[in-house]
Amino acid sequence: MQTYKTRAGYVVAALILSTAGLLPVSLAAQESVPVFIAIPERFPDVDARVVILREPGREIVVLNPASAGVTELGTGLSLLRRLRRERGQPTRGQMIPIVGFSRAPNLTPRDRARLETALDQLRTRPMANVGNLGRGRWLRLPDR
Amino acid sequence: MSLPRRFVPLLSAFLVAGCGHEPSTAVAVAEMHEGADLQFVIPAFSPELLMDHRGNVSDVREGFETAPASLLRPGEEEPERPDATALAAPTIWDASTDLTFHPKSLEAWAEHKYRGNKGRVEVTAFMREGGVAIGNRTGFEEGWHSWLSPFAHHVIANSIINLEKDCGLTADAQGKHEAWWEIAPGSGPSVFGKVGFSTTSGLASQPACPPTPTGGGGGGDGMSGDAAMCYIWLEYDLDSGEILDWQVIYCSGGG
Repeated sequence: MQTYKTRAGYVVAALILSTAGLLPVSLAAQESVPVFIAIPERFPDVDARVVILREPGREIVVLNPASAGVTELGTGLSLLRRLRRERGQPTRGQMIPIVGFSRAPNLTPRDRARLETALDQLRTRPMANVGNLGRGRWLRLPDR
Repeated sequence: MSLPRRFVPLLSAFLVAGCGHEPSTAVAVAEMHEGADLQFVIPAFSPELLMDHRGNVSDVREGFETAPASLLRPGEEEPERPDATALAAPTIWDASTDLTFHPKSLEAWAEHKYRGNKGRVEVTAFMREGGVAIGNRTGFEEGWHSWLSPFAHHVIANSIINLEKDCGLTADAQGKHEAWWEIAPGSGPSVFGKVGFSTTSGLASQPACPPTPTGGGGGGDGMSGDAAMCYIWLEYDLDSGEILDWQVIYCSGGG
């Protein structure tokens, strides 16, 4: 009887794992999309505080050098996450200028510290070409 | 006390499945790629693309117009221009600006009556949360009539802002009203007697959003328990950078 129950447990476990592998396929795929953050010396000529670019296979959060901070990065990432969930993966380029927001996103101290670390690392990166915006700095946020 | 053996595979399965679902958007800074350049193209677009303009002309173009010389037939002479001093000064009356929240949208409009053969009205809706402006959109219309027309004319423009939630936002609007005489539409020197002024709307408000849990562990979507925001949506060709589609403008209240 004990062996039977254990086997049944393995069967259920296999079902759970297979379900876990099937259902979130698109979610897992979209969450593996690399996210880049960039601070160009010249921000796009758009009336926006943050610009999000979504392309098949990657996403970029472009910050304004005049105001790049945890608030801006956190807002960009939170909208990015929502767009992934609600609009799926893009098949062509998507540009989403965030024209304004009222206050800082609701971050835990831990996530705030992570964003601050990311910004610190971004600011110490070597200068490079950042798209068609000229020189600037960029950083890939590691998958998690 | 230990767990029965039969629970072990189940717990393991839940653990593995749960870890597989951990969202990646929460930022962990561990490694980075040392690439030289980051290649992408920000598409160029005109700010006018974002304006609300239906191009409705209040009246057909009729009466006096100065035809370009290239359009005159052989032997045809350019018609005589009217005497500007003989025209009554353009005037504007019944000017107003107002706005209202609809489900999932805000509509602002401005209108006026005028005398003159051209009138223009522009309305800008300002979206706010807690007194902070978070986005705006402008719409405009122009009326265009014969200078011979003795009737009063009317022009109205509106501006629509899409909303993702029906709570938490306030809005107001400003209208700019103009009227003038223009002998040859589009030719600057023939414009005279231009008058104009502004009107403003009152404040319109959505109901407050219900409170939501705060401190969502960084996995929050930024729209729940977070700030209100406005954004624009543009789609473009990855190779040419050409704008293919756009949706202006989305706003969402916090909560």
